[in-house]
Parts: sequence; structure tokens; C-alpha cells
Amino acid sequence: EKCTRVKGIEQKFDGPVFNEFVLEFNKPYKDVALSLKKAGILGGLGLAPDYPEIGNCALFCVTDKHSKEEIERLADALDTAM
Amino acid sequence: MIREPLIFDLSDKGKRAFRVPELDVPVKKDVLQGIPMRRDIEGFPQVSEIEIVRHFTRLSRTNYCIDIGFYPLGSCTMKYNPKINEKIAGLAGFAGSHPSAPEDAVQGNLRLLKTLEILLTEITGMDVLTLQPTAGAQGELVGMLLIRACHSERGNPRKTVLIPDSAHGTNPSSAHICGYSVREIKSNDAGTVELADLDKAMNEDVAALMITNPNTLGVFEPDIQHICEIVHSKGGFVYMDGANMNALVGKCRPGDMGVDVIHLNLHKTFSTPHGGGGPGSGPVAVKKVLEPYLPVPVIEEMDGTYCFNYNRPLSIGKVRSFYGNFLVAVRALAYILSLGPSGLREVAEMAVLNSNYIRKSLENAYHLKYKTSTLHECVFSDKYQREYGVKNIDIAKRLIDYGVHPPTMSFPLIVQGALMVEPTETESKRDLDLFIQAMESIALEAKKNPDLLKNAPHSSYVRRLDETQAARNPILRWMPESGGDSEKDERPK
Repeated sequence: EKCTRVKGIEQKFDGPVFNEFVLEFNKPYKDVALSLKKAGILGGLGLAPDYPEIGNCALFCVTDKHSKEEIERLADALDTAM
Repeated sequence: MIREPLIFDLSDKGKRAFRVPELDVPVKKDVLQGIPMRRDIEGFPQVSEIEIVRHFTRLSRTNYCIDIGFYPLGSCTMKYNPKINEKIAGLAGFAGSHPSAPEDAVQGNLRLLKTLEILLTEITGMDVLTLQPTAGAQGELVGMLLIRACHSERGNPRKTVLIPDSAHGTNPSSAHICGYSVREIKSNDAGTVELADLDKAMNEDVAALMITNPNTLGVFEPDIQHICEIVHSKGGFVYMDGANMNALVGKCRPGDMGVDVIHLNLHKTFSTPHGGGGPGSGPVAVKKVLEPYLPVPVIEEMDGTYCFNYNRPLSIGKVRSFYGNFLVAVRALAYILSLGPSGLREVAEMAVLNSNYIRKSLENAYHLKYKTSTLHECVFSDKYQREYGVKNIDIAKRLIDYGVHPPTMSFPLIVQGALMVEPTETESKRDLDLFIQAMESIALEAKKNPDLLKNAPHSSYVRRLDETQAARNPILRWMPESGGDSEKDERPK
């Protein structure tokens, strides 16, 4: 929810998710990933190599080890990236 | 020792070992609406953390392992696993990295893998190497697939693979899985490849010879160069099973003998833990002619930057998820760097010396079918003891009472009642002498009190198991009394 509030990012699939979800970006994901890296975050797995038909998507995973603060930090970094 | 119960038997309702931290994000109850949710798993053990720790610690103590004592399991190379390798493999940048991480985030890892590739290539005298296979047998299959790919590209994959009768059973299996039929080559009285038989069998329908050197008897093939020439003269490849590399490392190189493909076992020669079944590593080194067919990805370096190259049109494809067992590679590299060239040479020298010391000490007490010199391992048989009704398995079980792990049994098949002893280089003379004394005592017991051996072991955690029943009627799963999982699942309506 936090990530998809960022302009230019949408949840790709409608079904319920467990620990990971696919986000779609309205710009090349490699640029987003580079911006996240500068913020000290190793972003989600870019799906272009394995699923070229959804090339601007990435798989993000969150587990019980991620705090609310870290999730919000990711959302802020995505906002900056977009 | 008291028999350790199953963890299910330690369970008491309401105990728990771990609590997931409280949610610090808002709760949303309908987030998994419509998904069938399991509420309970009947019989799931409810135990505290200390009970878990104690249970598994006690279980581990019922197992023999290399950190407890001598482990002369022939062909396995059960050498000491240096603890410094564990520390290095545990460094956060190695242990915490993910195989899906982008290349730019794991340059150190890629450089490590490339360095190991280069060093193993140098050690084997080959041209290039892949670290992807994660076991020796997988390395064999990859090696054979590379050979097949090359022959196929030349227009004819060929039909047959030649394998000596002393070979490990995985060799013909790998050849068969690769689509080849197998023809056995006889061993001569010295226990080495019968050259006349090889010469007769080699033709342009033969894709390769798979050979182990030194062979499974521990004997070095003195005609290895001539053997390679015979195979090459008809366009075949020589595949070497590198399981016995501990006898050669630093002293001579398979590539210099004429070998085209070799697999290594990092969990044997290069000291990474066997782990009761893995993780292992079976890298494959090849001569340049087979380089185009290597599995993808290949690690490449340009101007100090490393990357994975998947653009390899002749590659046999991917043989493993990700890049092989990375942390095993870390341990092997740590081992190689800590020993250096002189240390590796000493490994082979001491491995050979220790084995020959045992061989000389026991050659009167136990039968040696082949009198040929051996390197890092030797194969006795139970021939003398059979006179008293005692077989190799009885000798092996009695060794357990002496606190020693038995040698490999009944292999190679060309020695009936085989006992294959490989001490490795990491044993002291004291431990070798204790083993020799134990074996000498057992040889005497076989004569004077054979029943003591036939009913052994007497002092171990479990007595001799009924292996026939275990194979026919295995109990594979604990089941709760009701016989199934809880029926309280919520199914979508």
C-alpha cells in the first residue's frame, strides 16, 4: 500500500499476496534500482530477464524481520526514485 | 546411552520456543479473504527453545563425525575440515548475500568465484572450469554432456562410453543418463587398465573413456598418457573422475597427462565439509576445445569488473540454480590460499605416506588382492577372515566398538569382500597406530571368537540394524494418533 501510493508505481496483480508482490513502474526499473542503491537499499528483483513481457516490473519481498520504519524508508526512497 | 525420543514425544501443549514480534503496521483482517487458512497442524511439536537445543544436540552426539575420530572411508577423502574456512564463509558479505542480487552488488563474490576457477584450473592443468555442479556425480554428468555437445556439433554424438571395471558406479550411470551405452574395459593383474582390451574396444563409435586416476584401488595408471593417445587417435575424449585428486594435488596435473575433462570434489580434496549429504561441489575443468559448451552463466572479467555471461549459443545450458554452491566455493578457496602450493603438495605426500603406512602394517593380517603399489588409499579384502565365517561387514561393525568409523565396504566390485582404507593426510601417526592395532585385534578375534564380530557392534548407540527390513518396511513418517492433519481447515464456501 505504501509503495503504490507513490506516483508512477502500481501493484501489477490483483490477487492476495503473502510475503512478496510485484510492482509496476512507469519508468525503466534499472533506473529505480540505481536510485534505491544510492539510498542504501537493495531493491526488488527486476523481472525483465525472466519475464520480458512485464519488463518494467520488480518483485519485492517483505518478511516479519522488516520493521514499519524500514518499510516507510523504502516507500520514501521509491518516491525519490520516481 | 539413553535413546533420544522423537521431538513429537517431547511436546506439551502450550509450550513455544519463539514469538514473532508484535506487528508494528496496522492490522488488516480481510487481507487473505477467501484463502483456505489452516488453523492447526495436529501433533505439531510444542516445545521450548532449550528443549529444541538439547534435543538436536543430543541427536548430533549419537553421530560419528570427522571432528570425533578417524574416518578412513575410502574414496571419500574424510580429511579435517579447517574451522578457519567456516569463519570466512560466515563473513556477512558472503553468508548474507543473495544469489539473485544484481552483479554490481556482489563484485566481491564474483571475483572470489573467478579466482577459485583460475586456481583449480592451474591445479588440474586444464584451460577453463565451471563451478556450477554441486556434486561429484553431477560434475560427471556435466562433463559427459560437454563431450556429447562437442561430438554432436561435429555431426555425430557417437554411441558408446568405455569405462574400466574398477570404476565407481556413478560413472556408467552418468554415461547412461547422457544417452550413451557403456562397455566395460577389463583390469589386468596389476589392477590397471588392460591396454589390449582398450585398444580393441576403441573406435569411432566411442565418444569417451571415463577413467579414475589413481583408480579405485589406489593404483596410479602408469600408462595414462598412452591410454589418452589410444582414445584421442579415434577422436574420443578422455574424462577423468577426479575423486582421487588427493593423491595428485600439487604433484602432477591431469591436463598434462592428456585428460580432456575432469571433475573435482571440493568436499573431498579441498576440505569442505561432507555435511551428511551436502552441500558439496563438483566443478568441471576442461581443455579449450570444450570451452564453448560450458554451462551458463560463465563469469567474465573486463577492466576489473565481473559479470555473468549468458550469451553462449553452444552452451549445454543451465545445470543448477544460480551459480553452484557459493559458500562451499568460499571454503575451498580459503583452504587453497591457506595451504599455498607447497602446502598442497604436502597434502598429497602425506596422504600417500599415511596410506602406505597402514598398508604395510596390515598386509599380513588382511589380504591384498593386488600387490601393485598404491597411493592415497588401499583395498584389503576379508579373504583370510572368511575362513572363520567372518565377512567384511562383521569387521566393519566391530571397528565401531573400537571407536573408529569403518572403511568403505564392498567397493570396488573387482575385490570381493573389499575394505577400502583412505586415511588422508590429516591423521597423526598416533591415530594411524590406534587404527592398525584395532584392525590387528579384530583379525585375531575373527580366528578365536568369530561370533563377537558377527554380533557387533556391542557398545554403540544402536546395535546392528536389520537392513533388509529397513529397506522393505521403512517407517518414513511420524503420524499423530488420529492418523492425519487437523480437519479444522477453513475452506472457501
